[in-house]
Amino acid sequence: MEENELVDYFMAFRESVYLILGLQIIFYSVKVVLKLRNAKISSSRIFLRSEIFLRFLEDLFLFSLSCIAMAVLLYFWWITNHEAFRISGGLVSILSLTLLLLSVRNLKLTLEE
Amino acid sequence: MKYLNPVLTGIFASVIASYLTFKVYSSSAKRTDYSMARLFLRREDAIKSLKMLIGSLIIFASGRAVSMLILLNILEESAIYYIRVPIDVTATILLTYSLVILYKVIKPKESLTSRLHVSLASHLSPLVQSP
Repeated sequence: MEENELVDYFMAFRESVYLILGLQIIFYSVKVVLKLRNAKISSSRIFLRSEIFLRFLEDLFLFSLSCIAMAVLLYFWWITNHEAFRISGGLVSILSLTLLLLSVRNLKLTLEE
Repeated sequence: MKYLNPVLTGIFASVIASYLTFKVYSSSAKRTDYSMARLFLRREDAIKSLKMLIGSLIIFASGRAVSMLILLNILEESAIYYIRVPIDVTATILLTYSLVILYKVIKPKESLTSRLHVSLASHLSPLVQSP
């Protein structure tokens, strides 16, 4: 009973974090798409702010690595049904969403006026 | 059969995306000026790939909203299979495609002199080895 309650609280926490991070990611992404409409200015800014663009790529790489860890943990949870895998997979998914947010934020900084 | 499930797709998709992201990141980090110049010169392809990449990230983030709807009992748990898995697969396909375009833009082109060196070496090596 206690374990189920813990899992439910954790699920509520995880989904709340998803919502907070997801809304920010969508907000920044829409801003980036709006900035990318002018190809000449955007490409010039990418060229001039190469360091921030590299940070964007680095965070994107870390995000994809954390996605592998998340998928592996979820797979183990699926085949063993052990709650530890579910909770650690949830924590890693929060980390991956945070890295995704950082990455999109860096792209937005690259294209900013 | 126990070990075959939809999560395996996620593992393979993440491995492919990580490999491509690493290729893009490593080639940009090694030759930063060159890569940025190529991004600038082939701006149409670069901007198209960045738009697709951002689109895939928006789809990925909105896929998480489905989990929220499941938690609030607005959607049933089977929605994971018929809504979230297709959303995640679409996001991964878009991400992979955009990374392939980005890598094609950034990838260093083989220079004419190095190609000449390789072809000369392949032609001359039998002559050098022969007594």
